[in-house]
Amino acid sequence: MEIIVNMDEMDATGTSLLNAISHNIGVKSTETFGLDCFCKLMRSRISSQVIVVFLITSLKEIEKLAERRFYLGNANIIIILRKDFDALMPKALSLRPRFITSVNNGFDEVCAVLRKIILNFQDR
Amino acid sequence: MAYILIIDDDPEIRQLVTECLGDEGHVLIVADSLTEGRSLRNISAFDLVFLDVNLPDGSGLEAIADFKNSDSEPEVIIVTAEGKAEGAKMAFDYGAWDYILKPFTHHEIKLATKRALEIRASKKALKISSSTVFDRAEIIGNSPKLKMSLNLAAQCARSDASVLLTGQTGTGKELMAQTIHKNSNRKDGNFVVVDCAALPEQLVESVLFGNIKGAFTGADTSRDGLVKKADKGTLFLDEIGELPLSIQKKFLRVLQERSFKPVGGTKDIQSDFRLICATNRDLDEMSENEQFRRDLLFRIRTFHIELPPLCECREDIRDLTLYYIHRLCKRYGYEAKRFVPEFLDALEAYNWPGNIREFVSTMEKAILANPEAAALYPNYLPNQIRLEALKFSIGNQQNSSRPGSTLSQTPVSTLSIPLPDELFSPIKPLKQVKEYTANVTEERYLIELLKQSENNLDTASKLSCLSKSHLYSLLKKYSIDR
Repeated sequence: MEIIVNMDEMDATGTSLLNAISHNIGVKSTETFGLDCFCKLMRSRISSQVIVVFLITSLKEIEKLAERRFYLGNANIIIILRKDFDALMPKALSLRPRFITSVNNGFDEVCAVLRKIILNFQDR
Repeated sequence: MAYILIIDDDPEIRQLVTECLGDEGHVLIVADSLTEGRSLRNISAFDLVFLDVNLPDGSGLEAIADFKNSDSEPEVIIVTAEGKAEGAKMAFDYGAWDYILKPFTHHEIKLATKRALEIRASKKALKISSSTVFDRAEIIGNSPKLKMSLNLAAQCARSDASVLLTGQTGTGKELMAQTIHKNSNRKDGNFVVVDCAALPEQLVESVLFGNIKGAFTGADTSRDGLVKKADKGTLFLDEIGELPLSIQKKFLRVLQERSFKPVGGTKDIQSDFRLICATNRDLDEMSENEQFRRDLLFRIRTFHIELPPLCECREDIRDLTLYYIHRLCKRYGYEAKRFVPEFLDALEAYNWPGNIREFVSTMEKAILANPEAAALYPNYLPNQIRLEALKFSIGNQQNSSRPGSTLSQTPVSTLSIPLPDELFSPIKPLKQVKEYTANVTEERYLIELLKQSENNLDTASKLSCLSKSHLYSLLKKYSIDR
């Protein structure tokens, strides 16, 4: 099962997230920057079991993603909101994520959810 | 049970039809003239009318519309001794369902009755569903099982009661839940998904109910739970069978009181949400094994919708194919592709253990297999599907799992295929041998199909799940006369 992490650009938060995944899950995730890049990658992942972690900053990003929801197929979506959690969360829920959290909560919970999803997949 | 009116001036015919259908449990009423038939029609609602053509007080053909337009809108079957093509055409133009020539067999009458009542039942179901304004969004198909689920979903959408969606993996439980939400009066509220299988046990409670800052190690901030976020909207608990027992107890309380305490909190928080749950597990069995609380099961199962697996809705595969070709081609910026009949045959023959989810990814792979191609061919499909199609065509166990199929009754001996020596000395490529067996099987299948459907193309089409046009082309291909 592949983990894809999408963010606008690499910064300290993004690096921490990738490190946390690598350290806690023991797999190297695939990074994409921007939705176009992400959609292009998804075209080559048809029928693959993927978990997509979105590091989201703005409402605009969520809206763009909602327009392209079809690209996500059956991917397991995890959303991490960088800021304005209460304002962005209702809109982010429309993407039907498996887990949604704020960057302020750290990445331990995200990693726990990732582990559980991978475990479920392996148990199938 | 149906109400059937038999109008014929010949007492022997009336007797014969009555005998034929007497043991079917229907209510049979006879009339010897149009006048008597009309009087009976005015006092009773009939589902089906057998109508003679030459009656002492008029032509049955001219009375068809009159009967069809009565309140109960019965189906009409014309029974006549005059086998004129014009008469049959006129009967069908006036809306008769069937046209039976005298003398007829019991089987003909029974079959025509069965078909007419089936079509009547489906018309009724359609009427019920169309009278309900229910936007089915991306739920494609009109098979009876899917329609039943949709009708129930429409009822659910009109109420606030809890709904339990069950069905195999990939049958579209989340899509159905979302469709119910979008058709409900909570559509302006949030549709909040909680995937109980994805959440580690230690996280479930705080995700559902939220937590106060400092409630546990790592709780550096307070947060609202998803139950609160579903206020005025719908809470969808996916894979509810995975909810830990400790949380089941707490959640039962939430359902009873519509309030809860965040982890570490002391104050009750109200949330007015509608609950939809989904699972592919047997919650009754889990409850017997004390893995799922029975009291919670009762609470969440006010409505229960069982989503049918795709293999039980094979008639929807054509519509699904058209829909997803259009949608996927649009997404990838291609011209809408056509498909050859064999492509659809292969899709229809496969059992789809992964249901719609598997179907969509298969279509996507097929479309991307050759982006330049104007049409889709079976060789764009995964080998597994083509193999299943081949197995089906040689009458293996696939047939027995097809609901309604009569092929399983076909003696296996009639389907054995003698392979000519030419295929083996010298040995020919496997593809060629496969093609040979497939062709022989196809031909034998068609012959048996026509036999079992008594040369009736409608029946043959239904039994084989092939479109009539495809059936015609196959009959032509093998020069099989009906």
